Amino acid sequence: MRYSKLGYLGLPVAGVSLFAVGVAALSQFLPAGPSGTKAILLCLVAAAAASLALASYRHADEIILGRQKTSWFWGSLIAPIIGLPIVVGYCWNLLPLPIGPDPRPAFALGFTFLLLVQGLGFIVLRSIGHLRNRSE
Amino acid sequence: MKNRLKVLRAERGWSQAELADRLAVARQSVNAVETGKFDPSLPLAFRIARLFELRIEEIFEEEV
Repeated sequence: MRYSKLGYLGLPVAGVSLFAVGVAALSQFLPAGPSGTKAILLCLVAAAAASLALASYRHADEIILGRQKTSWFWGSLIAPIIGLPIVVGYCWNLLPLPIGPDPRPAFALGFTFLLLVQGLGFIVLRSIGHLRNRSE
Repeated sequence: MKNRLKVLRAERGWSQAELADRLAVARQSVNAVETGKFDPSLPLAFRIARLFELRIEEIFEEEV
């Protein structure tokens, strides 16, 4: 695997930018409110952005890839560690959560929480590894 | 695994960044190998050996 700084760092930035521009364009040009067309287009934009960002792995070297995997493995574990007690606490009526009769907002919030905490755990571990390995 | 990468690099007057460019890896990856935090794969070990015109076992040594 050959490392390329431009490919490794540039492609994820391009992927996030593509997603932001795509979502903004969909909001701008499609009628307001949910629709099947909008959902399909949103999935296509997300898939295109993700494939662009994932392609950056081809530009990482084996050491970076190893560190990424380790950080993701351990960092993302924080989500079930935090999330499981919340779910169990709610199911056993130990933790009152403001969930109304419509479960969709809670479902969306839980899903987003899971992704955000996994990402946060990854970023924290990856940053620690990066800082510990920066000096010559 | 012990290695002589830092010494060999210093003998040639290369910085970690220069060595990283020659090996097509990130500068931090050179640091990780030099400090023994990461053992390179065989392909990378061969690239390192070719660059320094040495055999792999002249650069890397198994810790007993």
